[in-house]
Amino acid sequence: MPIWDTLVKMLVFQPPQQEPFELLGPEARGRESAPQNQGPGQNDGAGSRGGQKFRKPRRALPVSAWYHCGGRGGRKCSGNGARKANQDDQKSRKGPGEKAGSPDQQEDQQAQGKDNQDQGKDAAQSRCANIDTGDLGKVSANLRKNLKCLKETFHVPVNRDVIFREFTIGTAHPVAAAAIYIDGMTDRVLQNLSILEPLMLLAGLSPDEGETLLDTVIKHLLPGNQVDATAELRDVVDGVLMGSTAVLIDYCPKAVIVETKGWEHRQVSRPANEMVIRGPQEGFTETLRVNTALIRKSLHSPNLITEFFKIGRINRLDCAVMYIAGLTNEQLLAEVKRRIQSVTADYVGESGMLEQFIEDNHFILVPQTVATERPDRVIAGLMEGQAAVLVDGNPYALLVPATFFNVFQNPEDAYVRWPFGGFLRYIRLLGLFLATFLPGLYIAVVTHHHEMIPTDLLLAISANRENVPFPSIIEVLIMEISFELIREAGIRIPGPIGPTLGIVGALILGQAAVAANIVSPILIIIVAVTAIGGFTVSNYSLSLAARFLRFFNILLGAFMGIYGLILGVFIHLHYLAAARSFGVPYLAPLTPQAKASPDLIYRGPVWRQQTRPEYLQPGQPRRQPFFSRGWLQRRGGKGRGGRQ
Amino acid sequence: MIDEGKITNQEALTMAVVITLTELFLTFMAELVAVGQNGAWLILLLAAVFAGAFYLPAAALMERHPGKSLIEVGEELAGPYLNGLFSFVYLVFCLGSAALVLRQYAERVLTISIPELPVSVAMAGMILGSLVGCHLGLEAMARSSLFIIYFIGFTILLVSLLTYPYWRFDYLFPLAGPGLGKVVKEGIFRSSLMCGVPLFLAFIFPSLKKPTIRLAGLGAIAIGGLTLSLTMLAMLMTFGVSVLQEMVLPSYEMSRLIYFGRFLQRLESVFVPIWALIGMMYVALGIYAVSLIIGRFLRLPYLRPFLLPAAILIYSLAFVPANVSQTFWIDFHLLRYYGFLPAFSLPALLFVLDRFKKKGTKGGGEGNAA
Repeated sequence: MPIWDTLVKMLVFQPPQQEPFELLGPEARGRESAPQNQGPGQNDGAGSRGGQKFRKPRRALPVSAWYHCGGRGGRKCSGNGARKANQDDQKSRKGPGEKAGSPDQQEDQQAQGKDNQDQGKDAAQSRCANIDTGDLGKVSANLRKNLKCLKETFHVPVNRDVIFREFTIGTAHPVAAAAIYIDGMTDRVLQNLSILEPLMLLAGLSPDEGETLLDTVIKHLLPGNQVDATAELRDVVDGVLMGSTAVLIDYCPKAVIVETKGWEHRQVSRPANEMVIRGPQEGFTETLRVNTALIRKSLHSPNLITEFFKIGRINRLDCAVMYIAGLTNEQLLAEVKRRIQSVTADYVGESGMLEQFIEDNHFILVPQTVATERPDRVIAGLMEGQAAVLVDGNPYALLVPATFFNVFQNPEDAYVRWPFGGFLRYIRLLGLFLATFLPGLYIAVVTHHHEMIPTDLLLAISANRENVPFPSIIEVLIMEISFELIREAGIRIPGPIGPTLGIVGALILGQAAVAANIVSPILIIIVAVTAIGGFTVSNYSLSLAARFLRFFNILLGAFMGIYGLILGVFIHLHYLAAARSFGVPYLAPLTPQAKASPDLIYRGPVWRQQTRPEYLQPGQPRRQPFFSRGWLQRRGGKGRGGRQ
Repeated sequence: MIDEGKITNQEALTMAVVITLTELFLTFMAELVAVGQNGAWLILLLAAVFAGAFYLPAAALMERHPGKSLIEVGEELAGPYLNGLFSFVYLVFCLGSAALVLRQYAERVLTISIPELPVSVAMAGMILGSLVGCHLGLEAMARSSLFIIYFIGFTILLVSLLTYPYWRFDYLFPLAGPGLGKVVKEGIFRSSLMCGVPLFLAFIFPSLKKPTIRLAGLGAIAIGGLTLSLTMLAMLMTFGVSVLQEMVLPSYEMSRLIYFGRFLQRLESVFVPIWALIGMMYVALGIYAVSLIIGRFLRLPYLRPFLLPAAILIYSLAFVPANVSQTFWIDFHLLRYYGFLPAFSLPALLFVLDRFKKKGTKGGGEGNAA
């Protein structure tokens, strides 16, 4: 063999020896020399990690004693703690009857990859694929073991979009590492610039005294804006699933989660379903962090708290609970968190699904949470003492607890001057009434209470209905069902042919049905007014409830007249009165009566809204002082207004 | 122990007002004019005064026994056997009054609003609504009462004031009608109009947030009495004695008078079903009271199993009178005449026993603070 080949091999396989840090003292240096006495087979240092060949520097074995990155449970990573962690790890590999060797020998075994016998035990322990229980165990100090475990969890290589990028950290003592992420969910440029490049190319640093490799990596080598160390494999998996990049380092029983989210998402745009003329024109998106930021950017308070939870057993989505510390009732918060954390379904993918899991009453039709896509509305709720629940992947936040008046109100009511705010609410209340009762009232009057109709109008209606072969109820049902069909089709229909539906609907409903004597013209007016009334209700769930109730009212009106409608009102009123939303009566503060500012149906001036709703039992009952308009006070006086 | 949640004293007052106003929309008002003539409104006023006076012993008794209902207090003071008899009287009273109200309201709704509907169906609808209300609990009924009272009050005010063009003040004279003696005597007996108040409040006493029923009961009697009396005044001024005493449903006849041009008239078809709400609420409270009496007498921790049997019993009893005239006769001449005897005298008797045995707490009202 030429001498050059020998020299090259020596260069490649034997990196220059360096003095270790004075981290562990002479004792560590004494141990450092021990591996040199071991046999060549144990000192090979070459192995196959995740199917990719790489070389571990021979000197890396004793270096593990001071490069070890901390024990389990988040202990500081050095010295005896590190050694103990390795011992624990080693013990977990050995059988109970097997005598443990010296700590250095154990580390050698770990580093050299003597894992033939370990594999069987690892498989027996099978900590890797227990995703159903949510427990994946701890991050091991053995990189290969971690990778094996994570590959099992992510079903690699069958699963092709989970990337395991293995590399060597170019520190003074090179150490094997791997980056795990999901292709398409991360920002490639960010990954290259903030993870791979610093670790592979710029890592020629020597850790400071008292500093471990993990500290060095986090403090000096990873410039990412969010870097967390975790000892839980569950956190690693969750982080990767959320678009972060997990960095696993050999000898470190902790993983580093680097924030690298970079998937495609919709930009902040105008709310699709809660439009206002006056007020903010931005709505939530499908990205949770964007949504929380939208709230935080307009609510500048250090007391605004955002807590995150995972919901869903298989699909573990992030769920945020936002509230204002010191303002939102503590018991309410505890209840909200308790309900969210207790949900154990495989998949809770939308706030509407979560709403159904956490609502109090399942048999009343009206919504028991305020679902809104407007950050300003969430902020208003938070300032009242409500809590907001946001689920990743959908643009609706839930405000809890909710009363009927919360659901019924619209943000714009507060943005216009008080007479108009109240006026808008009265209009909407009329719209809600029409959407719920008008067809039922029509059929009740036409069928049972002719005397209520003025004679001229009665004659006109009768003349129009003369050629209609159906009884009134069939006529009404035909029109209402047709309208519901058109409305549903209008939502599902592809965009380009949407206008066609309007033409078809108008022709069928407006012209052809009347011309064919299927329905009378007055019924077209009734259905149209009903629909317009329904459109005034800004809350979609409340609008759905009105649509649903309308059919019951039609039947009650047809069979029992106004008496039937009153029966329906009586029953539904009791259901509403019995309903609660997170312990708050649904009709509060009307019944049971509670103190509240003039902001139910009638909306008073903002300066008169001095107190928060009593039923929420907020930490700070007053919203503003009694004299909130300081400019009206006399100079040096305490009058209510300037004229006093 | 039956736990049906807690209600505020204001909600209790509202339910008690519902109890007092039930007869306002029935034939009772016209028949009372036949008895009291021009002094009918005075009879109603005096009835409220006497009812308030009779109510005080019951209120004092209950407040000396916080956390207990009339059934438990009766057992403690009168023993199980005598209290069994008392409970049976309460039961009969609640069943009978609920059945009479159910039948009368159903008949009136049919007469005025929807004549082609069979009375059995109308009653079934009412009893079903009441049953749902009872099933949802005392809190739901209390809150609904508060809501309903707004509508009822508004319609009463509307109907009374909109007949202003027809008022003739000379119809009120002579003020005392058949004479002061008869007016006072009728006032005492017609305090039976409010006889449901002490019983119901005494039954639901453990569910009150503040263990005091004095103000709630007196307030309900005062509001109910004033409303009845003022409405009677409006009726008298509108129709006069001779016409009014011949009417079947004077409140309905008043609503028929409303005329705001050709496009706002004949609103009675709307008012009468709305007034039926108060009948339904009364029946709901009746079903609830019957179940409560049984549950508390048998010392059971629940009452819901008794709701359906109680509803069926009331529904069946409502068919016992042969027709609406007979129903009304029983109501006017028995229930609303002698009803005050069991309703006020039994609690008063227990109050005397309580003072004699000195069993109640003097202060009362503290042990049940929610």
